Amino acid sequence: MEPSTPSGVTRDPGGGEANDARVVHLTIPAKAEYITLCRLALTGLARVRPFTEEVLADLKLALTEAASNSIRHAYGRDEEGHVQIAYELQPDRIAIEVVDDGEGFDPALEGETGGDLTEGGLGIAIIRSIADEFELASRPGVRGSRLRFVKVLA
Amino acid sequence: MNFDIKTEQLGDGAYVISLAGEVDLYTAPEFKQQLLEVIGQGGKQVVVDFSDTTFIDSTTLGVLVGGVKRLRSNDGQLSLVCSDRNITKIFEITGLDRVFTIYPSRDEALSKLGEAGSQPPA
Repeated sequence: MEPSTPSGVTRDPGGGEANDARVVHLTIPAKAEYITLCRLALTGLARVRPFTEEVLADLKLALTEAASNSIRHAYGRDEEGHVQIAYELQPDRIAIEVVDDGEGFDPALEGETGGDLTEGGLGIAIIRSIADEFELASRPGVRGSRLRFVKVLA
Repeated sequence: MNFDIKTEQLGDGAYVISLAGEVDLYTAPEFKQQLLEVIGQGGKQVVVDFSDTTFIDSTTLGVLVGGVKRLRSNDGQLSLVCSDRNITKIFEITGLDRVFTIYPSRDEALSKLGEAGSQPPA
């Protein structure tokens, strides 16, 4: 018999390796003051599946960048919205997906650090650098963005 | 709230801004305001002390870059104090370790204040 899981924790319904995954879902209002909750959830997950301190710091940084990106780009100043985060724990990796339903943006404009001193646009470059796998689906004029990254665990 | 900021004036145009806790999209605006205030008051040698900081992100980097641009146009300099590997790594990932001088201790940063050439070129 399948052991019961806490609210917000599901078994991934997908096939193959994903059968061994535990998925934790977190939905936050698209406001900067809630980003800290995304990091707190990672601290909690590190008790379920211990990470090295370095991996935990990397995950916190990449997730913060992803959530900040959604909050900055997806919703206008007065627009209410939410950001959904799925933490997918697999035996050898963690996949994190950040989804919003706001305005899309052009990923090409976000992924380069450029040669000059820039005050913005570093977030996606940081995630790319930290993650072992990275996907971003977002288009200007089309609502909704989905960012997913994977970190292989030692 | 897991964030605190303290600004000290050490002498003529020399300031230290100390950040404690987490600096992100929510808390970075307060840091930006303090940094711009210090520069507006004539700060030329500004040290940002991350000794008690537990987290920074690209928003924080953006504030620092904005500050160094303003200071350089005024013959000033911005240096950092940080010994936490998880934080210095962000500067390496983004290449900003070539822009900022990062000292492992506040004492070391303060001892270099005003020395010509302590700020590498952009």
